[in-house]
Amino acid sequence: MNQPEALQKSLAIIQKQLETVQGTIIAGLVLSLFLIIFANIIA
Amino acid sequence: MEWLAIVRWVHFLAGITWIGLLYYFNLVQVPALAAAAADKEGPGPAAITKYVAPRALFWFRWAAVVTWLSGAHYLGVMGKFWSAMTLGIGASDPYATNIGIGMWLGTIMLFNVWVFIWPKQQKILGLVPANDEEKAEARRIALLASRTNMMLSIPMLLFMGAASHSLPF
Repeated sequence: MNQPEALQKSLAIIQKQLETVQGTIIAGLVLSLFLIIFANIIA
Repeated sequence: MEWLAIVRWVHFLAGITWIGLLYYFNLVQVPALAAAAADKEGPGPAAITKYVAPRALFWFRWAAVVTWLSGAHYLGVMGKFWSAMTLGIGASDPYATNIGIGMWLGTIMLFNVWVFIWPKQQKILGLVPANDEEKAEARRIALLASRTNMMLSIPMLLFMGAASHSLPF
């Protein structure tokens, strides 16, 4: 899978998550986890 | 008088107004409009779109501006604005890293409010002319932008709080 294809698939997954409130909250929690790890790496 | 304490207070008040209304849109108004449109014997969604939504959107978009300006001013007075912008990288400053991540998320959210949500809502509410096709597209984009902001608000609030306290791990 090339990069634009991977990006398109990722965006499609996120868009599907945002269809519902529950999906939005789960996406927010997953993003929080990712950013905590990111903050720990760069701090 | 401690000027920073006043600015922080304003930031909290405006931030709660902004994010409170964001959650109102996502958790209450969007499902209420769908239910009102589906209920053929009910009063319909007109009252919400005519009397509630414009007022909610007024406070929503201007509270977003006040939140961002007061936050940026607070960091500027503290001499932390640029280190927050660069996420404290190379400075070993956990405050700048945490408040910086929160600030970037908040900045993206402000951009979404003024570039996507408000212009599309103006079409949906009939404040600017739009045909049915344009309105349908505006509804879709406004919903996704609003949901994106709700998603971003979850880590944003975590990192804003963590700047003065701590992250879970």
